[in-house]
Amino acid sequence: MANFIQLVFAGLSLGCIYALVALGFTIIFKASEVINFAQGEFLLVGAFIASAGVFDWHLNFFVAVLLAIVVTVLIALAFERFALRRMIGRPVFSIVMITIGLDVILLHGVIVKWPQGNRSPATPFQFVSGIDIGGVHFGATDLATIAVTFAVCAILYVFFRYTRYGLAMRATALDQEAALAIGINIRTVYALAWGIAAAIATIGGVFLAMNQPTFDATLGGIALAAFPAIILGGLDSIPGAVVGGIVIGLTEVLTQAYQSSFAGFLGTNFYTIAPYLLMILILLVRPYGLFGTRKVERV
Amino acid sequence: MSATQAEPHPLLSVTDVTVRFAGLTALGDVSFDVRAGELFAVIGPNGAGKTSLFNVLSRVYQPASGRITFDGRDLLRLKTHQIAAVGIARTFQNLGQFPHTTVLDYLLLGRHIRMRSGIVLGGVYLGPARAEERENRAYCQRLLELLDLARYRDQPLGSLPFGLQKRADLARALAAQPRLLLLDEPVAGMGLDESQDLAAVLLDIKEQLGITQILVEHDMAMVMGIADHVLVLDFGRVIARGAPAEVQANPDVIKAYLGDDAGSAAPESARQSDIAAIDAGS
Amino acid sequence: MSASAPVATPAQAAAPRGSLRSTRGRALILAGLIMLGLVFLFGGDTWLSVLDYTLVAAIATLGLNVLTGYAGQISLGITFFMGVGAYTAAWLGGDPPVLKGDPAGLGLSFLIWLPAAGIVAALAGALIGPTALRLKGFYLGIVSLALVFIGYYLFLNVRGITGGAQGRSFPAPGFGSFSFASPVPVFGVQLTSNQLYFLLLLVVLAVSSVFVGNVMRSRAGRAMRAVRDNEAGAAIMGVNLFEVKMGAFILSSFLAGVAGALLASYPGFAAPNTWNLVLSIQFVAAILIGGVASVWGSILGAVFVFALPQVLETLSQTQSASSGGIASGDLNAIIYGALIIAFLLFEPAGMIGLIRRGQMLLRRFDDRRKGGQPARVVASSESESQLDVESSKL
Repeated sequence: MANFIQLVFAGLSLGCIYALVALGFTIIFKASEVINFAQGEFLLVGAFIASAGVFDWHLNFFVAVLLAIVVTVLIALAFERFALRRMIGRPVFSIVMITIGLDVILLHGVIVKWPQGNRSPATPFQFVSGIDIGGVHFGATDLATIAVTFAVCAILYVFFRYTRYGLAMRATALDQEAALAIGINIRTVYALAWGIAAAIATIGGVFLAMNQPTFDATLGGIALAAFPAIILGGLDSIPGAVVGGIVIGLTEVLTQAYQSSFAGFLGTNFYTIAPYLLMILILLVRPYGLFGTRKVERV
Repeated sequence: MSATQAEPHPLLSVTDVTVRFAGLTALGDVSFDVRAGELFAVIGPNGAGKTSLFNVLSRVYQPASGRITFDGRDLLRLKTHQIAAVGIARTFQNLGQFPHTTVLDYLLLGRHIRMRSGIVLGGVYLGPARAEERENRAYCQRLLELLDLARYRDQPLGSLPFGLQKRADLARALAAQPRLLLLDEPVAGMGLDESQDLAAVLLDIKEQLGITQILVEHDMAMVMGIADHVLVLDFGRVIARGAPAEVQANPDVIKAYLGDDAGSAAPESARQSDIAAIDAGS
Repeated sequence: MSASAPVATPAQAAAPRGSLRSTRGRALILAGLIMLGLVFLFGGDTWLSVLDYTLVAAIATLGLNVLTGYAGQISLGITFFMGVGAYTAAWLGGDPPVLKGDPAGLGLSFLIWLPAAGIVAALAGALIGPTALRLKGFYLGIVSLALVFIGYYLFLNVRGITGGAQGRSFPAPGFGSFSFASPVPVFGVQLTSNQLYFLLLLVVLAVSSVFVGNVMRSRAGRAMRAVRDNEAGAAIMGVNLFEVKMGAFILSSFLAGVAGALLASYPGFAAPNTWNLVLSIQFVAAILIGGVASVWGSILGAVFVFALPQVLETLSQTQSASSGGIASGDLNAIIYGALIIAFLLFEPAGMIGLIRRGQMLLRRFDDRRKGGQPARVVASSESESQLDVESSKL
């Protein structure tokens, strides 16, 4: 039983990271209907810069994280302003591809800048190990991940609900033309969306890196599993993103732990595709995701 | 409604068709018949349900209730891609869908159901596919010449002025050799001369090709001039049906365009010209 | 009765569009063939292997273009079908197992395993199609991405055929006792392995290109493009959306399977991690950079994404952190990532689009030089490939 709780805790922690990625993704999608394939790479850049900040430039952990956030936000804003804005009205395929282009540049850019491979993650928890309750070890990193994720969700909730810009973003998500008509500056909304998404992804990346003793450029690939989370939760649902992320995290961890005992015939690495299989199953029944809205093509 | 002798079996028979979207009734219990070979017009103020009607007829929408018979068969059993094979062709109101397709290729697309080669035959090309291409390109060439579009043959649709795009779209619909042609605002965006030309073309289609046409249009003068029967919709319901002259004189029709109160706020200018056309007859 | 056009526009009379017709076009093609010939005879193993890998890549790029460029179905999953084709080839054509742990092989002829690779991949496409093609846009993209991971998992676990994580050997083409892997003189001519592959790949690519080009200028190709541009409108015109998408998917998978088999056969070895997402993305980059919905564009794109980096590397004698073969280094990836963005922003028709703009400029220049009115601009730069030979000159 203690083992199970341990696993649930681990799944929750991983799920929170997926939730952060999915959240950022959903925010961009709600604001501008763009699917940002580079979201995972924002994680990567964030983790690398934080790590470089601490180990190469000898900055304080929090300063390093702040620096990472600033850099990824700048990249996101620049991309949105100079590349994405020209793509308004273009077909979905082109927009997806342009974010893939960004993804490629970010991924290989990181590799070129830091070619050595494994890095140590920046962490404030070098000496804090965590709490032990009833045979279950609640690691400090995981606790922080979960706490920070819920803090982020709370902040976002307040932001969207009670601030002017949050309201503007919600209005734009509902109906862009109407928002324009009442004087909302859509450009600001887009920029905000991308900025927030990048910041959240950076935080996610920093935590994801902390999960392992060392990490390398494949970190961004882990974020790909956020896509099933997004589809589970629905492309345009913010609470859905969080729920989806956590479900996927739990699925992955529990499958990895139990699959060999219960379904040994499935071989190795089944847990890596379990989220995708779940996603495909959902799409079979609901081709626009669990909570997605059907697109109507105009004749 | 006005015939006294026994009528031939109508080509299209629409009975009590209702279309709803999330609480809004786009069409409510709409019924009418269209006889083979006639030119049938559907008019009504904006939002009256004309496009919804076309979308039901071209099987893009599924009605909540009602029956539609085309040439004796139940139209509602067909899927969208099957209507072309039974002889229904439709022109589009907005033409942004195929901007890079050349006029000729667009017409050849219209010939899709009249051709048969698939990937394998097409890939090999020599033989049946090539013969089919030659034959159908010749057919489309003649059609282009008929509609005075031959010089735009290799131009992408998106590069043509809107009126020419509409004409190309009509050619594309004709290329399918339909029995029933659904025309969605065929003269929208055209000047007086152009629309008169097109009206003449539609009459030619009726008299020389014998194709039945259903027309959705705002241009009253043009519609009243060429239609055999007119159906008037307002808020999804049929408010009048009959020969143009009858419909023009119908007080419900005039009220629909004028509004409830003759003394109320000025109607939109589109309605004003509609009213003028109705008053003037044609 | 010929279907020739009536009064031709000045542009048509001056220089017909097909690349095979104009003098300039013919000269370019001749030059290209001569260059190929030179590389073939004198290139040596280094250059020939770059060429050979590029030819294989071009076949796969062509397949992807059929599905994504012409039929408009986003797919990041081409490497899955390449893997299926490769392992089919390995199983049918590989050497029969000797030791207990050896992967399966039936030792069948190349004339069986190569087409079979395509056919089995096409069957996989036929099985997956009905499910996948119900999805649109982004959702289809994600599922195709999932396919790559699912493929990797399958390839890892079906060790009997794939050899598991450490990979397995793949058969070389051959006829009877003659094998590409260790060729003997034929009619007194001794060709190297790379040269033989070059000839084979050239033939396969040429046949595929002609086939695809033919499809695209006939009924099926038009239907695909209509589905890409506007599904509802296409359906109203009588196009059966499901059949068209399935057809494109199956053709695309067939080409991918053949390409996969050849890709693995060339070095004679591959492991499951060969069929990865990075490679899939490179193929998508190739169609975007070369030109979507264009046969020549597919080839150009493959050259750009796969050949150019290797050529630059070989010329500058530097080695980047790549595993050789078909992969390109990180610096190159940054370049093609930037190129994807640049082309999408400024020239969505890819290099073919650029070339076409150049052609039109040249044509205007020509006509002005010959005196008289400048030719009327007939087609926009976003229209399709040069291999779409125009209508009346059949």
